[in-house]
Amino acid sequence: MREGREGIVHTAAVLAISLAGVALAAWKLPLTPDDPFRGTLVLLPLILGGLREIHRWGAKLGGDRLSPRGTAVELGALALLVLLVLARHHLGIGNDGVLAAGLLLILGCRVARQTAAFRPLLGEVLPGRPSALFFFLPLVVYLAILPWSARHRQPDGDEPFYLLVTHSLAYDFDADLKNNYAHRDWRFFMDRPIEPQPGDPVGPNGERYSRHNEMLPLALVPAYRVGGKMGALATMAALTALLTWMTLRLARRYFPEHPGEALAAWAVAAFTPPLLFYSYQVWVEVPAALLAAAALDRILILERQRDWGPKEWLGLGVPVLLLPLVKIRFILIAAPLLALAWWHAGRPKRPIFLLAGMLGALAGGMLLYNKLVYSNPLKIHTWEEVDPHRYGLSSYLKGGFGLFYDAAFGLFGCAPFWLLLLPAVALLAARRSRLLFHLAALSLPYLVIVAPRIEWYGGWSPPFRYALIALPLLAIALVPLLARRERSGAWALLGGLGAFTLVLTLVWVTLPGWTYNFADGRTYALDALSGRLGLDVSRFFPSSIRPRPATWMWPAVSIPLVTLLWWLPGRSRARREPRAAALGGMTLVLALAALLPSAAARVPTGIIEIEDPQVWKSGGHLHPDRWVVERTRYRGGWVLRVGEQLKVPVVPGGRRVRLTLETEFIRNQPVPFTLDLKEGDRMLFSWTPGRERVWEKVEVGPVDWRAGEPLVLVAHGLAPPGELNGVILDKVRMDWR
Amino acid sequence: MKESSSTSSLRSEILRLLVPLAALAAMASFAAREIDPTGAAESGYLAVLAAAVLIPVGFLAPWPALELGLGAVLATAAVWALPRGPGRGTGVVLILAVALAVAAGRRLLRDGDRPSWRDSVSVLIPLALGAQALLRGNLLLDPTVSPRTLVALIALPVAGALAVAVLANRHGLPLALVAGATAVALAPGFNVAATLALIALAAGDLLGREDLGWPVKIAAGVAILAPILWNPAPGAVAAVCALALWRPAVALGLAVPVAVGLGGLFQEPWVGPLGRTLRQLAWLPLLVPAAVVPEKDRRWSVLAAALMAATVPQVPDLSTLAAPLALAALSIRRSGAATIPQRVWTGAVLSGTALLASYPWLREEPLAGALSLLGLPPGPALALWVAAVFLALAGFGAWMGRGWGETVRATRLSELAGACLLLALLLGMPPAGRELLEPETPVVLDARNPVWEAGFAGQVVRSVVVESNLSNGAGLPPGAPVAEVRLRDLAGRTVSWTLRAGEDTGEWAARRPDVAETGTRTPPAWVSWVAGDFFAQRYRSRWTLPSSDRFTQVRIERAPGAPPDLALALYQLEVRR
Repeated sequence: MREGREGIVHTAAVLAISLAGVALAAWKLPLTPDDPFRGTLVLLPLILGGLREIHRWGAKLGGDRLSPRGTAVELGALALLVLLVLARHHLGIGNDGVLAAGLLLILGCRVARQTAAFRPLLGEVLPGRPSALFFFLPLVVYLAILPWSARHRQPDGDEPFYLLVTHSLAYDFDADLKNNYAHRDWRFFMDRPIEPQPGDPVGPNGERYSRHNEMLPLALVPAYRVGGKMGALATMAALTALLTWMTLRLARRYFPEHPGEALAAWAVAAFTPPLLFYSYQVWVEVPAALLAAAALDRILILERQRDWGPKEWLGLGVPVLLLPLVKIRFILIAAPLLALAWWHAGRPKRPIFLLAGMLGALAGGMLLYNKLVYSNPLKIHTWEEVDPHRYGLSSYLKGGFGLFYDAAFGLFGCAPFWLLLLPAVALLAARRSRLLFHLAALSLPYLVIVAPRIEWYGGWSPPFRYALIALPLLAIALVPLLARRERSGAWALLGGLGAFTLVLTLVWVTLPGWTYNFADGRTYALDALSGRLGLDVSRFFPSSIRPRPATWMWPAVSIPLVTLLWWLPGRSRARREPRAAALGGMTLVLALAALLPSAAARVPTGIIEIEDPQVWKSGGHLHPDRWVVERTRYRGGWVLRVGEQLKVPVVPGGRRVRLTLETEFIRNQPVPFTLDLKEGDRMLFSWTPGRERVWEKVEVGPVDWRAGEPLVLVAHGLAPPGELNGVILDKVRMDWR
Repeated sequence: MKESSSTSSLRSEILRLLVPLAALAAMASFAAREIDPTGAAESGYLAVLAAAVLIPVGFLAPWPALELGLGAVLATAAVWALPRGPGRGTGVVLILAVALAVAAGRRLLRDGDRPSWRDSVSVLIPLALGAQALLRGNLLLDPTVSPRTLVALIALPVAGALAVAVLANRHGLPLALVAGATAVALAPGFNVAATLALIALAAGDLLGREDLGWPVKIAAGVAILAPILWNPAPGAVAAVCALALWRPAVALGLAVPVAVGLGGLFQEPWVGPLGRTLRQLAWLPLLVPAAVVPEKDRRWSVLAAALMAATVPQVPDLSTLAAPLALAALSIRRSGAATIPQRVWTGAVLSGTALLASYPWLREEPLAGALSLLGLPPGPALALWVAAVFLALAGFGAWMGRGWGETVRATRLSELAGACLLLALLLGMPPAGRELLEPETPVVLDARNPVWEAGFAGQVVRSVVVESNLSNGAGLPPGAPVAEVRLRDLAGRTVSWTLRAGEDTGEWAARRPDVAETGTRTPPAWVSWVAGDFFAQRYRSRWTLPSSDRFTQVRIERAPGAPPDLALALYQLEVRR
């Protein structure tokens, strides 16, 4: 007891010294206030103090000690990078991202070592209540990346509105945003002005409310009042860290005999995308996932004890009733949770009926309130929108696969390590694991409503938004698979996918804006690659927003391939030392990367999306505007006006080709307009549109095509003063003969 | 399974080679399709550089060689993801340097301080090859394989590594590494002078061994004399130093006449003999401060080393100091209190030198540049500081030795030495200025657009730093004015500074063969970049005002009399307090 008290005093002293270091750094750090590294370096003493104490407590509670040499190397590398940060202008290092990635790598190294050192804390059987260190380690990591992320990314999507509601609750003690919009209170957390969203309710006296619920902002208010935007984001980091702790706790209910693998799964969930992104953003999905995990944990405890006391009422009732208050769609999680509680707790009638009644009353009340305030029980949505019968199979497939495979918004696209879920789910199915049943019971009713919607990707958000609530169970699903990692194929996958995920994590954290892709079938990362190579690289990656062959080929190939590869046996020597295959997996990733530019230059051009970056344009503009709401309802394209042209690199797939151009004529002037289609300098066809504002297909050929020649589209016509005539060019299909 | 059996398996050897080759393929494939030719050339160069470092890393890293895999993947990702320019070069070089350091560190820790001859060789050869690729990476720009390239990139480092392995046999690997690293930092890399010096020292060491037969001793004697054939004066110095490892007193006796002779022959008339001697001697405590507390039976060796260091002619470059300084490194006291701060210092000096010698800096005198980061130029004053801090650390280390365990003492003393170094670097850092241009977005002043100006609200300015280069400026005589930099203060008064060709800025393509042939004078390059088949460069100059003042505007105007096709590219303009 005394030792514990002394330990706490020691920790308090270290944290006090760290805070003094923070104050000193804030005062004396030779960096300008707008320097991108300033926040990170100011916070550095606290992060170092936190990591030191986590290590000390870990060792005290029975964990392994970290090698002092390793720590010295980390500190040396950190010192070198801090020096480079401070001296970067004197050394001519023009790219801050390189140094930020270096700092992140050092943090990653420390976290990997510390995670391994935590292993003894979990014993031979997972404890019912994991150490608080499993909360504090992710928290310190999230806080460490917070200043950089917040500096390089403005709040986006729903975030600013949640923050404005928070601001109003914190300072006005109401949810009326009229004065906050008028006083430009958004400037306290972002530079870009925001306005009320379409569909936001207006009160009888002109009050402006947000369509976003107040539950999450209420949780953010205390920290926001103390620390402003950074306080609110730190609260989100704490909620995310709590979610990871809860994930580890929940793992005991399923696989208590695999503590090492549960630790690895916890680390994957905590320190890789997408949860890493959500740790520094304001999204309801994180608290919702936390509530769902807490409720499920309580349900699985009930399975053994089956008697209902205040703990059970609170442990289950509070999360279930809070879920719809966080967002009404989470009622689709709350209801299955009650059903699971009924099933696992020995089918008790009274408590479940009572909770169901309360949940029904709450949901009914919310719908009624929405009807009165918004004139719509679903706020801005319609009943048709949430009617599962209204959607065809393709909508379910697109949304369902998109949540996992989409290069811009999918789980595998942001962190390929999660591809291990494919063999993991197969293993769970083979073992008829109840985890799979719980995963289906909790997710399916919700995903049936969410996945087929036109905004299945989450609107304007980081990847995997709508399915984030299932992430804890998905992480736990990895546990039995990781326990069967004795084969070479498994290690090759761990090495290859792990290294690839590490690289992507560095990119996403260094460039946080790149995780906010537009809903146009492209991604920032692939656009950058296509732009630098002048080749269409995106076509090899799946997109459910712009479906293409890769959209369907990736699932069809990866599901059997990854599953079979995991179980691939090695040769006799490899069986003795399968970890060597990890290096082989990394080699495979590099070899596949080597193939990509060549493939882009050799695989014949099939469909050309004109707005893509590899298409050279002399002028024009994107259609529709990138920021338009529900952009996927429109045909994305490029507006080419009189006097402008574009050139498309073409990889021929034969000697003759038939071209089909999908275009719409925009007449702004009563003068002639023609669009020339050329093969390099050679005229193929000159199209004069007849109808305006109608999508048409212009077919040309078959014509001969010379290798190396680009497709050129030129807009001709008179150009009197005023808006010019032009065409919206969607795509060109090339059928080779 | 035991590591040794795993590392020696054919499968693991193939994998060690396949990973760098796959990285090379991925980067080269990207470079081959990149549409920006400058970016493509840089990608191609970085691909070759990465492979040249990663292959040694592969043979150095203990199994399962994760640093090899991660280094390869990260270097490839940096080439693919980062825009061309110094930032990308820095990123790749840092990744490669870290991969090499981690692999070497893990391997050295595994093998201990007294590894077998075979283990020493298997560590030192890849380490030397990797270090050479970083220190002499400029040689990798030309993809054609020539005997000169093969000798410079492979033969010299292998010979140097073998020599260090011989030294390690008697002096232990840590001291041999300090000696080798000191010699390598001077050139930088394994050049002929540094390698011959190490070979001569190894030969001298062999002469001192009783267990070797006369054929080996005759060969060692020949090896001691070989440097004299290459270059008599430094060769004689190397021979004396080598002799000091066999017969220290005899070597000291020889060192005196050799020093007198060298002093007489190579005395520079414009520098006083004492000044030159002190300046040269300063390198000894500067790079091997532990030599001030030598092992008792090695004092004669240190004296001989000091005499030789003070008088050896630095022709062609600093690397002629390799033999005396390496000898001094082998003579330091074998206690942790002395060796640990020395190891930290040598590692830091070599790291700094490697950083500045590699792309994108490619500094002509990287060692001097690295030492200057401490705020003083290399010389007696800095040497005094280094020696004083070293003595304080060594004294503290000796005090720690009374009550602390060896491992804890080593760790704590290393950390303390690192902290001192960090503090010194922080203190030596110039003040942060205000940058007036976007990074990597140059402003070009030519006949059509001869003026650029920017305002800043009443900032106190003490100095102005201009990063620039010239196009079509190869024909300009040295000192020709190319632009005028003017600062205007609140009262409308101006002060000006003339930017001159060959002194403050220079031709961007000065290293292109056709321009280099003209003998165009340029200041030392600040940053270089791959421009097709040569390294283009830009320059940095600083103008310090007589006193600080508050200014509101800076204006740069191309010199009116400059040739019509001359263009001045401004990469950065920084005003400092």
